Amino acid sequence: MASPKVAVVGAGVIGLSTALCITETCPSCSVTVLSDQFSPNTTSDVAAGMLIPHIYPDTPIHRQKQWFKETFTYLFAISNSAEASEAGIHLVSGWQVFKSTPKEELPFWSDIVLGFRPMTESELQKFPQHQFGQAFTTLKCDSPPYLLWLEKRLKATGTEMYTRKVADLWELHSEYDIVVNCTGMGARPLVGDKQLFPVRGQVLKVHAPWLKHFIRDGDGLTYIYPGIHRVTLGGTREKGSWSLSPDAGTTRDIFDRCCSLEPSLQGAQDIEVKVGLRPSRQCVRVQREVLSQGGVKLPVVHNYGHGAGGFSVHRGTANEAAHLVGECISALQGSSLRAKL
Amino acid sequence: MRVAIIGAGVIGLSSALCIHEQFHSLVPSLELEVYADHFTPHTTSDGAAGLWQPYLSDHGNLQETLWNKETFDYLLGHLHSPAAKEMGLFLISGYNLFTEPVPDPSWKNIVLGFRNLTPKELELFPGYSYGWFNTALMLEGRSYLPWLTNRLTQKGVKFFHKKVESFQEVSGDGVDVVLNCSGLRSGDLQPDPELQPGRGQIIKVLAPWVKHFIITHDLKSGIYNSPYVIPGSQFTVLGGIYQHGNWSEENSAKDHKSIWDSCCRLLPALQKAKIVGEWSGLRPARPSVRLERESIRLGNGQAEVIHNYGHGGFGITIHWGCAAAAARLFGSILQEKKQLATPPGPRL
Repeated sequence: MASPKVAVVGAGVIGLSTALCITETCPSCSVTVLSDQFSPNTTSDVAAGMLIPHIYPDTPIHRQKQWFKETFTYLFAISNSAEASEAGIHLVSGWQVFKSTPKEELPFWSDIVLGFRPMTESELQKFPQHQFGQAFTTLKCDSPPYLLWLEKRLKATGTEMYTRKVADLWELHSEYDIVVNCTGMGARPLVGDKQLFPVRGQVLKVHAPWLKHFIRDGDGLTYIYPGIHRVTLGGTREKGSWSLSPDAGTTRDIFDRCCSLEPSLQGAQDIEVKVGLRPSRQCVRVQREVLSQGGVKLPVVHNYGHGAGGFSVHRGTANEAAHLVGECISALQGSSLRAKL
Repeated sequence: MRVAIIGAGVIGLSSALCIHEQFHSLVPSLELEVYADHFTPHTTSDGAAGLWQPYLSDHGNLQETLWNKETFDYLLGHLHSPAAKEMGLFLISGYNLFTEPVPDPSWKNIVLGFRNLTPKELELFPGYSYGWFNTALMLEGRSYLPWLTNRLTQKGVKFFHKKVESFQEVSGDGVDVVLNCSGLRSGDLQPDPELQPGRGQIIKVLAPWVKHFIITHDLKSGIYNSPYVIPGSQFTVLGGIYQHGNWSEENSAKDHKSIWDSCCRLLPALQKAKIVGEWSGLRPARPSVRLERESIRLGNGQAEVIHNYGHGGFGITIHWGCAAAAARLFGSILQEKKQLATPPGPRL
């Protein structure tokens, strides 16, 4: 197989980063990205892009740690380079605060982020309703800039990108040798995965350029994440809700909760409301599958179900998916050899 | 009781405010007048980035460390007030970088979360092998000075735009106390060979992805002669110039190149930053701050002068502690003039 043709379905952070990894590990592959939405209209564009992992109950911790570490290392190098501003990647320090001391004071990622330590008494005075906190420095990937940067890197490798709604993976079998499914919430209709469910998140993006720190309540519901131009205020975790329409009452509630963490937000301007559906699953599905229909086989690599943690593990899962694509290619080459014999 | 304040930088305005707050109800006749040749946004304080951070060493000047602490605590107390944004006040964290281990600074327990840098953090800064991380405050002159001015105006303080040539000029005609907050130009009012310009130059850029201050130190070159990057609320300040004795307020192309090259080496992403301004200013440098009373013979009378100048590159850092100290000196003048009730007890 001289030049395997790989279709990556989905152009959020997972689709684009997976496509990029495939071009890196398989330079002879011809990669095409197909998606009904591109930045700035993907779920990834709503997310703040903070590198603070979400815990997947059914994925082994060492695997989650490996994914996070690879992602952090990759982005750390870019943040330190001349491309940082174009890629939308920057370091940000801040605090995760808890109303009551958590059972686990040291999360699995504490040695991957920078300078992780418990907050001092005087630091906690800034948060009178909170008893305990952690201070650290991590990375943030601003979208759209990060997605646009990934698209630019892809174009430079000759990868083509098309707006196309794929209703059935089999549509692609005549044009492509391997299909990579990075459709996020779209995997539910596309491959019928009932383990995948939306967790609706509403956020506000505001202008508050004096805010230089992130603040996150350990309950994961209230957070303030300063990006390059806007600060993301969140949020909600509405399991099973499919609504993409902003809710005014929710907006008020998010704003109030964030102002109680950071009073200066009262002066924030230009409030923009956005909604995204986190493609949630008990474990991220990074897996090979060979679909079979009427004697025809279609190798598929799945990479979806990252829920609230897409940015935190994207590069790690993209690497793994690219590796699986490599396995698919070997299998195809093996079987085509056998066919020749 | 008329008080003339010479100088409308951070020192003059904050001293005026402190005195008004403490004494206006005790001295109903109190009238404050601010005289200056430059007002915001044209003062030295306006050009400063606004980072609260003293020098590395206080040279045993414990009093200055206490004033720094008083300022930090005062500002921290205002952080959650509705005025914070208008004041230009916000928290900021960042890095101090060295090429060798150094003793902890006098202010390590004043700032929040002071710690040494981890090896991984140092990877961000090739060439530097040691450093600190801490959370401090920004107080942007461009916002703080107008805020102080508004507060003073509301309180009936009058402002006069003129270059004061002598203490005599303001103290005649019924002015009882003069506050000398004239910064570097104090030498024009009264010779002070210890007061020298510490010339600085800065480049203002748009680099909103930078969320931390980064201050490098070259112990051989001295303070602020090594690149620094300080992100403000509207633009980021790049600097690294301290020229003792240089009175020029013109931007120097050589200094520009030095700042630009060294800051871009420190933070490669800055290469893409858009330059939006450049400024040179003269830090009013002195071996120690001059904060003291002086009775000056003038014509047929005598004027009480409170000197409050010579804050070098740490004016914003120390301003409130000094303003409070100046107010205490003012209080003692009032007691002597029997403007304040003396405390109970036998009179001498």
